[in-house]
Amino acid sequence: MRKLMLLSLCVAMALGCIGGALAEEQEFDVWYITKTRSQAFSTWVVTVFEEQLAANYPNIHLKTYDGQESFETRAALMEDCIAQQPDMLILQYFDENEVPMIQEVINAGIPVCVTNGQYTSDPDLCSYVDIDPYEQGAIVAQYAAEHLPEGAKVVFMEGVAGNQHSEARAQAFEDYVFNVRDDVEVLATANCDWDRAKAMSTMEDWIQAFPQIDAVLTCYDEMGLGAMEALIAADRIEGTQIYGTDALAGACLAIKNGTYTATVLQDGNAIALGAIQVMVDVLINGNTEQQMIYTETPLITAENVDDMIKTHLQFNMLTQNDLSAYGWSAEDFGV
Amino acid sequence: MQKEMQNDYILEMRGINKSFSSVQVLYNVDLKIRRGTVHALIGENGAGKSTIVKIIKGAYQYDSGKMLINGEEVVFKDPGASALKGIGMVYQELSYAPNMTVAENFFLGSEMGKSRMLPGVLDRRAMLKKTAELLQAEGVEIDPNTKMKDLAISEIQMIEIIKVVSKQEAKLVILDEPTSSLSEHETELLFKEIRSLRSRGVSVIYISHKLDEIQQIADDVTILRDGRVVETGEIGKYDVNTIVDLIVGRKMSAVFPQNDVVPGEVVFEVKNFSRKRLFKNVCFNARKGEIVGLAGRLGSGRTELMRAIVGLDAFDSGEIYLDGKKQTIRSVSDSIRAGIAMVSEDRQRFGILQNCSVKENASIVILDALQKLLGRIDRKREIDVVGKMREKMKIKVASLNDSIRSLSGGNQQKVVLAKWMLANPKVLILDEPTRGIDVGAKFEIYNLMIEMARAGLTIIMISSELNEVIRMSNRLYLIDGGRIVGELTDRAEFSEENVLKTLVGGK
Amino acid sequence: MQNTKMGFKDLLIRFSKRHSIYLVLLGVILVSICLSDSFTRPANILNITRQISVSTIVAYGMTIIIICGMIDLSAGSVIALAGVLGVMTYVQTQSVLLAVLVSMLIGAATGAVSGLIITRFKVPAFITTMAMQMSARGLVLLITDAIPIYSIGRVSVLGKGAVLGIPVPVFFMMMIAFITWFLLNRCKFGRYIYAIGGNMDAAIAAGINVNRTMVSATILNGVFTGLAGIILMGRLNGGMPQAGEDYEFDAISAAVLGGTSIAGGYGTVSGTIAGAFILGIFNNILNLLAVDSYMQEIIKGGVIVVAVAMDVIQRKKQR
Repeated sequence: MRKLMLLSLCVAMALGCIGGALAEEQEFDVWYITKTRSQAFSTWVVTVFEEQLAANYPNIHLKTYDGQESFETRAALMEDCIAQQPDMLILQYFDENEVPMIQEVINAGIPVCVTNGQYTSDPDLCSYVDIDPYEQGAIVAQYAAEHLPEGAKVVFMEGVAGNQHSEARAQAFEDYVFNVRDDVEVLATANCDWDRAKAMSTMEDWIQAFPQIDAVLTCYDEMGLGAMEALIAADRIEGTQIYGTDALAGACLAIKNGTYTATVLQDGNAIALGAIQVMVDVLINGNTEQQMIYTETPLITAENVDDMIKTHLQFNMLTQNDLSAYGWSAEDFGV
Repeated sequence: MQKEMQNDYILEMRGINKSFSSVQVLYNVDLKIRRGTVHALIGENGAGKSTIVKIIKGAYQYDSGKMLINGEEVVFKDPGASALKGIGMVYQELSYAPNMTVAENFFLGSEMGKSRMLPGVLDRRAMLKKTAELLQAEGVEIDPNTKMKDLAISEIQMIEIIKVVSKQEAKLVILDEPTSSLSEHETELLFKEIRSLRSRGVSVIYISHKLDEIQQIADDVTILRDGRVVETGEIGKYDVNTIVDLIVGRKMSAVFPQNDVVPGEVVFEVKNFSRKRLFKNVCFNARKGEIVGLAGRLGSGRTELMRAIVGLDAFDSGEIYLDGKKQTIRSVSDSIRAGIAMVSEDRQRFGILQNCSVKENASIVILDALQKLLGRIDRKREIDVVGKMREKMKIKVASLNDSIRSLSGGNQQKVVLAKWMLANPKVLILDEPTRGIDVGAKFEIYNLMIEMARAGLTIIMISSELNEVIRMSNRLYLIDGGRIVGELTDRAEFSEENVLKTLVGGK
Repeated sequence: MQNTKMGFKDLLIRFSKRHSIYLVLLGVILVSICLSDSFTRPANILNITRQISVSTIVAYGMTIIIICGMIDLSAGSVIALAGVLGVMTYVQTQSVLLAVLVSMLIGAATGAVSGLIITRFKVPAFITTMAMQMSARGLVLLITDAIPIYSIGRVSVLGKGAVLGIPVPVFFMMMIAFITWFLLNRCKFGRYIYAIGGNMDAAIAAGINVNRTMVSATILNGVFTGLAGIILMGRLNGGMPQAGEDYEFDAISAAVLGGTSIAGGYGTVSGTIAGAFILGIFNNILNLLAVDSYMQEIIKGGVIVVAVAMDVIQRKKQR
């Protein structure tokens, strides 16, 4: 965790310096096309990106467009982008079908940087700022493998089918839990589409079907949180382990509260800052070389969750109100 | 030769009776159609023409009697069966697919396949060729590739006739009001075609209101009145006046009840009512207990005028007075509040709520008055008031909760009347109150009108059936081109001749 | 004579029309009982009713809207907007009652806007509510910056609490069912709704203020949707601006499955409840049996088509 904070800090400082030196010299237009604005993680990245940019680079003018998780919408936005010719395009990963479209943007002379995801069919297409989803899944999966009780009965929620991140994470759970721990029995598996309400309903049904559930393994914290709500309501949270990924603010609070076992960071802050770094390199330093930045994915458990909550507070992903319900305050976390 | 012709009937109906619910619409009808002749079937609306035609087509089944085709007794269960026996019909409302070509329409429903192996693959060339041949044989010069919507009505009609005669090989063709939308020249062309059919031994049943045309084209004529055949024979035996007398009948009063109500003071006045292009400076009044007839052709502005009076449509200028007080009517609820109600001409569209019960239909305009605590409808009182109205109107329905759709046209109309009478109006406007309902129900509705007038209701009646307005009204206004062109106050003056004279003269 | 015969036939149509969906429900229940022992446990029954409660509350409003000849595609987004604003109200005031009122008010406001656009400018409901769906979602994301509110205090009682052993959402579901039934079957409003959906021209000719009635319907639907929103937030234990997606389709499915005519003019509350239970039991039994997610989608799609087709065929046969 400390390593990560350090990295973020270094990037931020580096940006600050360069930014200060070149701030007034030239004006730039940058577009950011999101995957969606209605998913917690995508929004985290965009929000931090917007805030950091506004604070440090007043000469870079950002326009953010919502891709609405739709190929058509995003393709149309990219066409607009070619027509409008901004200095750079930042793009959140959505799906493999858009590789040719991105190629066209690049051919039109607009540098492209893709965040939180990679086009596996063309890894050399452009710059990427991402995590390694398999690596990320493996970290929490290994932790689960170590901590699941002997002969544990578990249920598994995979997330949106066909998504690169959920597939890689699911593979990691397969490799590091189910293939290693032969004693673990998987009672049921569902997609639940990274959706809290769906995960909650599904968990409610499973609670009825299975008198013993020792752990819930999920490939995204929103699903883990949905399952948690169902377990709390059924009074079966005690002794049930819950695992998720991405270290969303809600999951961190739950870990602190003792109702959630572990998650693994997908650092929205670091990804946003990494994207700013790539952007500054291209626009201000004139470095057009493609870059591949993997941000760190540390495990978050009760031991280090305080640091993570602090980060979330600093980046406004959590508010004092969110803490006060648990009887905590921001000062407890050094903010 | 003459004798043989006389007995060579393609169709014979003997003693046909037909009733709907309890109302008899055909009485002992005999009809004989000679082979290779044009037989005119004439009579007023509701005389039974369309019922006879539907029985011939097999759309209706008769209650008793006999029907023979080529001297052989037949019973048709559906229109398909009659087509197989060589009976074809061209409807007044032509039915065709406007975006398809002539050839496609010709083979609609009986398309030719490429081969037995591939019946779904259309042999368009063969169909085009065949259509072209058939059209040519009839001397009609229309490209079979033309879209139907690009043709004139007369051409479409011609194609329909050719389709029936040539493709379906009909030996008896029924033409229902074929000239109603044709020009004089087009009518000539049609007659040419009819004569050609006749020369080939095809018989035609020709339904029309236009007596001069019938004189031109028909060989025989059968005149119907109130479901009975009053005369049948060769057309040459009758002149126009005789035919009119036979159609109208000498004892008309038998069908209508006597309107003996003596009207009171003028209670309802419409002054200088105008709406651009529809009606202009219309003034009229009506007395308490009076039935005022408004006679005029379709499109004379009569319906539009009435719709504007009750707030269904807008108007440009004019004033409405009820009991001497000026009324401001911007919507139907205003007019209901003022005490003016209107029964619309199109019952299905404006009159009834098809998905609702008889009770719900009847009470829809008085729900405000039926509300009790919490906005609940007082259902006991609702059943009570609707039930009373049912008694009064003699609505034939097993339960007030039955769907309105299960009722006959006449009973539906009575429910609509009941609905408006529940609103307790002072003025009731009836637009075509007896359209599309059987003779028995008509008589009941006439009786109701007189009863209501006797109770002090002012009734304004619009009807296309001159007879009806003449017999029912105390006073007549004549409307044409959106203007009142005449007023007849003396009942002795009321006659079809007088009305028609004024309407023609006013133009 | 003929009239009584027709009346009986009509009664038969109504009977079979109403009962085909209940037969399907009965079938689904029987099959579920055979397939899983856990199914009939009281806790599971309670579980199902709690799960369907939010979408069923939306479905009541949807039933009214569809009977009236409209449609509402904005429900999912309005749930999020109304729910989150309700939660924000709670955070400010610590009053659950105020939170519920604000949610219902926001719902009513979106309903009023949609209704006015539909009636005044004659924009089809399909288009209007689709636009409202986008706008409401955009608004809630803008207000919250798409960041959830993680602690909602006593608002969670609305989703998780129980009164006399009845879960609060189920209590609301029953209450709104009664209100909807009352309005549709006992009040002028209901008669007007059926009249307008069945034959708009005749409704106008009968002096019904069609625009006002239609706007009342969209407002009422908005109130129900807003209430569903705050209850959903309570269930999820968070103010989630992303919540509610696809709820309109669950609601439409329940209503149509329950025999509400998509052409307007016909529909019942009891049918909608039956439709909602069929969908809810389906989800439940497939999860109880731990059926694979892909398989679940296939089975669900198939059953919806079969159930509606059965209904339509039966209706046609009777006619």
